[in-house]
Amino acid sequence: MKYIIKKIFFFILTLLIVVFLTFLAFQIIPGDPAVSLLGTEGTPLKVAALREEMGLNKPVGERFLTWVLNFMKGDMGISYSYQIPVSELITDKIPVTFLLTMLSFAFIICMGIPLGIYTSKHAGSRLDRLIMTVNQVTMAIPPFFLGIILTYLFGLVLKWFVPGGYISYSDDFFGFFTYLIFPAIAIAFPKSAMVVKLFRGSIIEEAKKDYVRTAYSRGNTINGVLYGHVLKNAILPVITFLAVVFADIIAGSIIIEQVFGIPGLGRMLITSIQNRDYPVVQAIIVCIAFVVLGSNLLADILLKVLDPRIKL
Amino acid sequence: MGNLLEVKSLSITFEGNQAREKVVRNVSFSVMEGEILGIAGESGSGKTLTALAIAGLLNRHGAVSLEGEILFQGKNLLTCKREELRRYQGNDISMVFQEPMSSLNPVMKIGRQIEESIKIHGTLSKKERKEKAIWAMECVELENPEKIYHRYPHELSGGMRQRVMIAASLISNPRLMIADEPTTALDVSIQHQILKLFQKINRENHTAILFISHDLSLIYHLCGRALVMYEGSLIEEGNTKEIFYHPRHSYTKNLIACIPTYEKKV
Repeated sequence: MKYIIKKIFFFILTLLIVVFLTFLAFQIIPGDPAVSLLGTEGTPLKVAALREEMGLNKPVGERFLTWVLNFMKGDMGISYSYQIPVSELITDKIPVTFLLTMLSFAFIICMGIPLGIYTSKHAGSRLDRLIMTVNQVTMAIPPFFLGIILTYLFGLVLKWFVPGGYISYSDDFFGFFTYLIFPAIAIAFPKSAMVVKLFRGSIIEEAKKDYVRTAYSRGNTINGVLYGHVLKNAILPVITFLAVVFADIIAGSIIIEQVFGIPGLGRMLITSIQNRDYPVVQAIIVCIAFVVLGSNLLADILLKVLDPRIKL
Repeated sequence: MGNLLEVKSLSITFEGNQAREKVVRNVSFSVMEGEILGIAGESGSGKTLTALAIAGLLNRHGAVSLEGEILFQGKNLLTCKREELRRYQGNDISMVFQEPMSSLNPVMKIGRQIEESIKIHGTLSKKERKEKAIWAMECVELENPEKIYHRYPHELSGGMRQRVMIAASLISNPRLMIADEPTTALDVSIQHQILKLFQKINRENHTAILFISHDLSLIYHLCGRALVMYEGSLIEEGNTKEIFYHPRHSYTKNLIACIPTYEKKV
């Protein structure tokens, strides 16, 4: 319990640091929201007045504190470019990116784990060597490239889906879901190849250990040894890796949303950065940081449950 | 008493890519029902490989070839199918390994590891299995068996872990227990207690024990009969006292000379 409280404390602290760093980043990079908002009508006088109104003249620390206090009240501010509350703007984007992420993650697990077990069981066989060769190539394909290939093959040639024909989840959930399958595959493929390689190696390494011999000496079958003894030990490094992968999927989804024209958080993040729409950027970054840190926290807790040797 | 185990001209060869290396040469011996037979020899003499061959733990590596016969209750273990062999493992033949830390699964509770062989071979319910595991832990004189049942290996001391290993191998009431250097990783006072335990198991359950050690003095104390192996061959066989006082082979003489002097006065 103490372990979890400690972890949650650091979780919140890290979130605050991430938000503060984004505040700082916008101080450093060139570009002024007041200028981009006024566009061609931006006389120096008007810009100065708008800066004052938006509170941009205040020191970073003060703006940061105001933002944190408002955020805790549930107020994420008002978007500069859309002039509507940020919460309203992102609430209907969150489910899109969330589902894309979960779908990609599910693909990674469904492909990576069984293939890892299969190839380790038949290590050295012809099929294993074939899979591992394909695996090595797959690992090197960037998701956006795979996305383009998939769009061309399944969208333009086979016409299984309409490229760019995004269907909103509020209109047709099933249509929305099927539209997300190919982007999810584009994200998941290279990552699941990494999971296969890591898990296969981990299983083979574990199978050499002394306790495996003990397990055989008690009359276990090969599957009994594998599923009863080896897997629980071999999965530990994979869980740590999956937490990292989860964070990476979200980063990957920002690019993939561009390729497939999916109006998710990633797309909104990019346009907001271009427009210097600080409140939106802050909110999205908090969302992403929250999920990334959350997945790490979950992995830590899971590891603690599976491996009693991990000290609090 | 009849022969429980008969090893007939057993040879073990490692098949390398180019070189073939014969590591056990033409070894024959037998273990009688209910006796404690010792195998002495330095590391690399082939004693552990012989033990692993009997326990059926060598044939899973493709790089090893076995010749000869290993007859357990008249059945040749070297020619029987994997599935058939499996029915002996952990049931009639059980093993105690040298390293009590690495030989236990680090993420599995002690209780489950002790029960595993009767779970595989038996039809007992979960509750009956637990009762039996507690009984086995009492046999090996582990204190607070109920508590230890829910512990993990890293929470126990080396001596306790070896007791757990022994409990796990006696729970199925095997006909033959193979102990491969079971006390080597332990300190001397605990070694003594573990030896007593093997004597007790042998006496009370009438389990035959094949006790393997590089330490001739342990074998002298524990075993009625003993074999001495050297570079893969059996060089001496007979009554322990006879071997001890009238060694025929110069290697055996050297082994005896290695024992601290006070032992010789016994």
